[in-house]
Amino acid sequence: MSSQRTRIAHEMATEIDEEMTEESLDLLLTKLDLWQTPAPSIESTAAVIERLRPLVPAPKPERFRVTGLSREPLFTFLTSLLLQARLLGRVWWIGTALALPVGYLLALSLEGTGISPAIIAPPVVILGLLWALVPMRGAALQVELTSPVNPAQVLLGRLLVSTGTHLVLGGLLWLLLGAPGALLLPWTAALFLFSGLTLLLTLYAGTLTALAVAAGIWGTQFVGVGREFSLFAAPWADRPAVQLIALGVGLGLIAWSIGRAPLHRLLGREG
Amino acid sequence: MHRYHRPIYAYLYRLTGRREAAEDLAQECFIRLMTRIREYNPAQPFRPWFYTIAHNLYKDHCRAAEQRAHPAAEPLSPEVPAPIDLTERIAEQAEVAVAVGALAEGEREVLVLRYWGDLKVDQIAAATGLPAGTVKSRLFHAVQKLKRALLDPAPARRNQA
Repeated sequence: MSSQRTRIAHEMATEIDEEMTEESLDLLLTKLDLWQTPAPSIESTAAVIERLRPLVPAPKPERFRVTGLSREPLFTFLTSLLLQARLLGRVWWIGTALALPVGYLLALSLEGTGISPAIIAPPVVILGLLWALVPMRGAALQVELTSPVNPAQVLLGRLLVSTGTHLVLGGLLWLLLGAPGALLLPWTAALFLFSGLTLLLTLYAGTLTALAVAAGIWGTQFVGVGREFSLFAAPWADRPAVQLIALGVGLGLIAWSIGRAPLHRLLGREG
Repeated sequence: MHRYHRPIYAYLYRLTGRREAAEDLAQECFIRLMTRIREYNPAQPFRPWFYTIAHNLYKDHCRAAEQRAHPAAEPLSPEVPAPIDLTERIAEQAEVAVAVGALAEGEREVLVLRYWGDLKVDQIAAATGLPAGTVKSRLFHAVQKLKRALLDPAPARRNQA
């Protein structure tokens, strides 16, 4: 209260343009602080809530069903995207902005080693989704309950924000730093494949399990690089056709996830 | 709702000086908020807009009281505990309540919005429909009067005598 009072005293001294000093204004405001108002009674608060209840629009039951993607206007969907973007928080944005250049440099360092640069993409995806899906359950649920978007749109919103950011930042790096074209496809394929896989597992096994399985798959492949059983080190892993298939499978998994998204799994609440 | 109920109630209590009136008006304030929520421009800060509703309700309340020939719009005489119960702190509190209550209605409202509501001059101007210059002038006079009443009470009393 005192810091607020000091601030207001400072502002008021300027506003009223009086000879009165800031200190004496602060003293006057200190006096005013003595006048405490009683709190509104519990009955009064209850009465307000009771009168407000009929005015608050009741959520339509349809919102809690999986209703597909086409029933909401585009504007509402874009709004939900912005909400998802805000929910992710500053740490996610900064973390992603830092992770991609580091991943880019690591991927460049793999050139000529026989290991696909795609091996760097999964951890970025997994960490991004871990942050996006797990720690914002309460906030995400509030968004779901207060906005007319259906669960599939919530999922798609998060996915687009997360994957879109990776793609945009990756594209920027590619344009600005002139990364070899060969890096782009394996990276993107791995990005979509692991995004799709994690999201699909999220629906059927819960968020944490899905992320653990995805991390486990990646970890096994990473460890297997030196022992010749990793797909990332396979001689055919760098073939564009293989990468395009991986990309297609990833997109297919994402589409499948969106089509089969029950609410409680989408929000990361595993009963 | 809980975030704004108490501040709005306190604002109305400081203007009306009556618990029941403040509770009723605060209740109406929330009802009006809900029924007019579509008029709110999300690009603008919410609090000043809410205080605008409270201000208008208070004005309606004063007009209704005048029509009923009740003295609600007269200088405020806040609920003050009986003298026999006064501790020093309560006495000080009552002194402030009386000093604020003795301000002209417009000055009181501007002061309450500025200090307890923490609204800026332009926000008060928007909430009350007054020019910013008038808000500043009323704030100036309110501060002057309170200064005389609370910080330098002896000369004021001498003048009254």
